[in-house]
Amino acid sequence: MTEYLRPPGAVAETVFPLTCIRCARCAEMCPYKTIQLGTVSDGFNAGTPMIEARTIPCYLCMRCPEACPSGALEVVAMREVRMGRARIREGACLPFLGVLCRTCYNACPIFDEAITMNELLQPLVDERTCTGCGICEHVCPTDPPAIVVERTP
Amino acid sequence: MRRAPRLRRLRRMTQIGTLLLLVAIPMLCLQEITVITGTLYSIAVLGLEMTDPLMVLQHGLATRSLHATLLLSGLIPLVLALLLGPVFCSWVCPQGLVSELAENSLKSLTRHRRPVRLRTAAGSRPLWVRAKWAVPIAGALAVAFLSVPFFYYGSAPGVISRELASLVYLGTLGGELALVAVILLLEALGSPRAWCRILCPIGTVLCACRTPLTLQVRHDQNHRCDAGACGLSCAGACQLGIDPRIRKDLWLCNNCGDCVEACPDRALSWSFPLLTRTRSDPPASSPAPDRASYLAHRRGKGTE
Repeated sequence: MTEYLRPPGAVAETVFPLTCIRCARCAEMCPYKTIQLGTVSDGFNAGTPMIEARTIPCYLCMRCPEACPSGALEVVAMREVRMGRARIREGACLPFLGVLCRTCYNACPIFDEAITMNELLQPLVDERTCTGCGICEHVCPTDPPAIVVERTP
Repeated sequence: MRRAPRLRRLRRMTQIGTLLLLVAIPMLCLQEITVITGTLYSIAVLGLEMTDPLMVLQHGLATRSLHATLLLSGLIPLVLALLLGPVFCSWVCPQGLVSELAENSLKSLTRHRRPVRLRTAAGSRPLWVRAKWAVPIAGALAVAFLSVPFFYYGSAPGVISRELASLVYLGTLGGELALVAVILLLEALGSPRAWCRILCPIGTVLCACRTPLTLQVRHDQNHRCDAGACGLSCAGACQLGIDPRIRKDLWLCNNCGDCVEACPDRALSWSFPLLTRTRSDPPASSPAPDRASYLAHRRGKGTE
């Protein structure tokens, strides 16, 4: 079970549940149904937008920040999004085990920048350009995924 | 079956229309038509935003900052309440609709009238009237000091609208809807419309927006209420227990219009008090409906 993410442009996690007014407009704007809404079981996070990248990642269409009335999501350029940071678990990642796989590399929207391939054809995450959209985690063929997005604190 | 009076039918249509709209919004969003988005916490219609004032308060208290556009969008409902009274409660709120229908069916099922008392025997306001503010104040403290999203959980219309959006758009339901069940149970076993009258935090705020400018029910002072003939149908029509002839009661009135329509003599009407005061100030010789005969009448009917 991985950590849930916040939509693109979200303010820091410590203040997010305080800032969000839970109007659900970001969820309604999301054409991929990426944004799920927290419920009672999420306690203080009830009603706030949550993303489980392994199920549906964020495709960075950037519609949700524009819909947010509370400032919990701020309008940012697509490449400036920092929802989290992908981290490769080398013990589970196929190329590190000698099996050819470039699924995450091919799927990454910041192509050939946020995920690059080294000379051994193993993926590497560039922490400066990774948006944390979670597409890599979504497409990773191993289960549990060998690449996981850790939420920005 | 008897046809509902015109005004009531109109009101029912707006209430049901609101409910349908709350289902239609996520359905339109599924088609990527986003001219209108949101829930009753905050709704955007063609770029115009309206936000639950208590959610704005929650945002301000929790973040300890002001957000200009959010503040403006929260003022719109307050200004509307200032002009038209808490019409949101009676004409729009889905919880109002559910509670009202539940109370109606309970009444016809048990054939038992459950009186609401807005005044003590001495004619003063009972304790619950003063205690009303405890809910929003406790909520504000919980938000400010414990960061509990109180006004999210405590808004019945918000919860209903959010659950509808969530169900239609995402296909999921949350436990927040339990609030509606709790309210219905409380109102069925406890006092009729207790949530709307006493506990609802946004209802309390909207009621407090009443000023001398606000639209209100007006009783024609020249009209002598022959209690025997009309059967006090106005007070009987009000689920909140208001006697519209007694001005002191009107602070709770949410302008549903049931009493206006119930009066067989058409002695009740809506008016903006400031606009009409100059025209027909009651002459001093015509006293307001006197309490003694009213109480005697109620006792005679076995309702008090």
